[in-house]
Amino acid sequence: MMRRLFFIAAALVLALPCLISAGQEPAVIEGLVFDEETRSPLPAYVSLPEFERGVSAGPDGRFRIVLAERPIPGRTVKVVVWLIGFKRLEVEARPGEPLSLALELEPLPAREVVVSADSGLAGDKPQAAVTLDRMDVYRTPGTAADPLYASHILPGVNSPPDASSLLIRGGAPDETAYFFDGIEVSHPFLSQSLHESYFSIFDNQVVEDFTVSTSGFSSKFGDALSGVMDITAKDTLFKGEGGLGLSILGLNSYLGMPLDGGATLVGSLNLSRSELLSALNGDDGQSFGTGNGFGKLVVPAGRAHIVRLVGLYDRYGYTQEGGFQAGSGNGIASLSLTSSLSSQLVSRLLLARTFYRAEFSQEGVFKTVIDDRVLQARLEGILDLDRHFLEAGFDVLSRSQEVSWEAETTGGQNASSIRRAAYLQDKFRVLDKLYITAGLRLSSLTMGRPGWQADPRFSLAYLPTKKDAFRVSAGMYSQFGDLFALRRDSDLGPRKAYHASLSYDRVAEDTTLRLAAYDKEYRSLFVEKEGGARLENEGRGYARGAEVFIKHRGRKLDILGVYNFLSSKRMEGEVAVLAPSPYEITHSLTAVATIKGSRSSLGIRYSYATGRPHTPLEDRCWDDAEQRFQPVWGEPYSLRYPSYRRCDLNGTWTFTLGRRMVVLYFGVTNLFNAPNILRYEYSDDYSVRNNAASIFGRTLFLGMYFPFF
Amino acid sequence: MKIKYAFAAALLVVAFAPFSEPSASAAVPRDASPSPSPESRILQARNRLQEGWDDWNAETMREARDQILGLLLQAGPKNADLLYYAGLSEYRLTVHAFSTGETNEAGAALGRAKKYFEDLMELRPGWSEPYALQATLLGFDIALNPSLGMELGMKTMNLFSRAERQEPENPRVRYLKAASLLYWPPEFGGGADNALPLLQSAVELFDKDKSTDPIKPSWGKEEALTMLAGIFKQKGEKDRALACLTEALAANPRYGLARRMLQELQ
Repeated sequence: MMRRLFFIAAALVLALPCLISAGQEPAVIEGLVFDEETRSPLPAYVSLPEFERGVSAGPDGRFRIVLAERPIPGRTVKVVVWLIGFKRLEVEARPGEPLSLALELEPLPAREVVVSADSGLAGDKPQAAVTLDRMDVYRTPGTAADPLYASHILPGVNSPPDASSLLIRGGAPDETAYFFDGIEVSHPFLSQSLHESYFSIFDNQVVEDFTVSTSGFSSKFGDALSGVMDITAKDTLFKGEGGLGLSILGLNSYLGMPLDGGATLVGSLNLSRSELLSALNGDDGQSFGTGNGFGKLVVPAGRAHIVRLVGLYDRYGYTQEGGFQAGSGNGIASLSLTSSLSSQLVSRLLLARTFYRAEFSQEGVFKTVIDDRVLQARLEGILDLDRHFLEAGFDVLSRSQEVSWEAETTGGQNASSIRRAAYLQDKFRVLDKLYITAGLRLSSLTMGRPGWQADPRFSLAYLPTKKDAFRVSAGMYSQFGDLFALRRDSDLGPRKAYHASLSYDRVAEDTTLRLAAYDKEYRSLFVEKEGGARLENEGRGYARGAEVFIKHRGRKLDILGVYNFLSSKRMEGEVAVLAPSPYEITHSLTAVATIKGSRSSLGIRYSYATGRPHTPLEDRCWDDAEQRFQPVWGEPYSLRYPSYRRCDLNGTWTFTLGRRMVVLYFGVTNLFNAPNILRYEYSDDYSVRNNAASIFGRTLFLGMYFPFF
Repeated sequence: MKIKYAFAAALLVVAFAPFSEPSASAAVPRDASPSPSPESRILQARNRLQEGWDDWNAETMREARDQILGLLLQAGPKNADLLYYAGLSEYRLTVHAFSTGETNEAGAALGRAKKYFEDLMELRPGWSEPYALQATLLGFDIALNPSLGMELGMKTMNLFSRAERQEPENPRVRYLKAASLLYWPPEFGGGADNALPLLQSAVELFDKDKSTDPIKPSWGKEEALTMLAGIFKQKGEKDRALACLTEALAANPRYGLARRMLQELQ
């Protein structure tokens, strides 16, 4: 009996702790995981490595892991939390104490961040940057599906009324450099005259993406004071694609196809004549024709090398009643070898030849021929170290220009030069959200003042959230200028611009906003001395401004708005005092709305711009020596042309014919036929002033396109 | 008497176990016994995922996904096989959530799946399947936001073409493309008539596919055959549909969709 009692008592004593604990909750690790930035819950994976136990948090971010055995009081457990795209988090936790775990986004590799404060881009969306996609180029009214015209709706970009050339932040048209597939292109326009240039030689069908840098551009680019447009053609394709278009202007076609061995061929051919367009919109006595052919062959050579052959040729012919004729031919040929030396190191060697020849003639009066040939070689390397993205390279460009004329006198002149440059740039992540680009470009020219020019450049980007970016850029930019001027004045040094700019971008899912402010200080501009007999680097100037860009993409409606403010003065050329810049478009505003249906779209665009300054004609006086009237000009650039206004419409309708997709499209340029003035022209005796109007009166354009997939 | 001692010993174990130092069996319980190899753990998780997929059970698939994530956390984010299966599990959870109308859940799983395959494409650019799976996922993106159709449609086609160029004989790439084509408009080369020959060729490729690496993906044949059966059923060709389903169940007797369809047809 005693023994039985002893055993019962012993059992009770021994079981007591168990009975006490039986009323308690089991030991658990539980809590909440959320995004540190947005505070939204995250379904992260929570692991207890010591226990080889883990669970994903629910959509509400909550998790709970019941431990099989309760650890001793005071013991902590290692908890590891991870979700793809976020940084791994490790904490020590006490069972039973609720955890609140904030995950930080994984920092972006340096290559994926746009650090420069001033780029507008097309193509894949990079981190918090202003972008236009390929469809924007097609959908935006008034762009004629031309990437150059489309880039006019980017912040900081303007143009002389209706011309293609880019006035970037108050810079002159020749202050912008153009690159196509890495080739520097001196004449990117289909039609180029003394005053304006229209349409580009780049066919949007073969354009993969483009970037317009309105300052703060990469050290890879040089010999440009204001901006760079960098266009990339389509490259390796894995499926065939193409299309055939027919419009009242002519025919356009595109074909891209993969070939055996991983090679790709991309080509396009476009032919146009203006007669039908003129007949539909009222014949104005002018006609033109264009032809454009492009071909690119991409051939892998082994596993690590790719050879690319690029060829482009454009021709343009224009005739006017009265006998004026203009014609040009514009070509590019290049060969490049890209080598992936390792998964992180890529090099590219490019050899290219560009040529441009234009003729302007008036039957029996004059004939002018311009010939411009460029040979260039570039060697570039990229080293991607995730945190650092290093770029370095050398380029040599040999240019030969010749101008000849036949009029009352016959003559000609030519100039040749070789430009050499080297650059180094490092884009690196200083902190998880702070990126810096530092670069240096050295360049020299065999004409003008001898010596090497050093252009340091610096940009900083701070990305406090994945939607917001603050950017600051500063840098020095040099441009050697017109070769004929340098040949005449061998002491001329390069013109210079110092850029400083600040921008804020917010790129939410459907809406992009950019606010930017900048200051560009010009130095060493060319100023005429002794009545134009020689030039000196005594000029200067500035362009200061601000920009607002907003783009919203809705399910049925896309909206885009751009406003640019600019204040600019220059002392340059004939103007020996600091006067308003001829490129100062004080206010410019563009608004675009596109309504999208499942098979149709309708877009409307309105553009307004302050008229550019011009020098007024105050009077005329008789010159006995010359036996003709001479103009008496007023203060330089003291008056403005009337403001510019234009409204454009366009639309598409997609349907199937048989089993083939067909796109019908229309465009109305300058819907209200606003008489936008390009410039004033005066009669020989300066008694009559004529308005030289934009070539874009009200024009209706119709076409159809058959895409192939 | 022996029973009494045994009772007391049992009480001792029960009473003291919660207070014992959890260093040996409790804290690191699996270290005490020989651990299965990483390969066998991957296989175990993969089979669990397949089980959930066959039974159309999201809970089992989530459980498998968590096993895979645990292994991924141990192995590090550069393990291509684990990234693939993590992506595949989220892909399958996306499909499940879509079919049950849980669009929020579908969108979340879709985002994660795409990220896994993005990382994998960067890590193993020569592997075709992540491209094909990513292309399929873009189709779900379009379903969530039809206004992205034009932009993502082109991307989808490019990704499939890239996958096909890289591994023309991969049966899963062929199957996924056929599955996507089935839902594309005919003017873009889609629809049942265009998907049918592709599915048939995918089945042929599955028959030829003799991978010796157990870790490599081996799913898909029963899915292709069941989809083929669905098309034949739609066309009124019951015998051919039944033959496909029989073959599908021979490949994977657990595949629930084929079993249900077979019951319906019989």
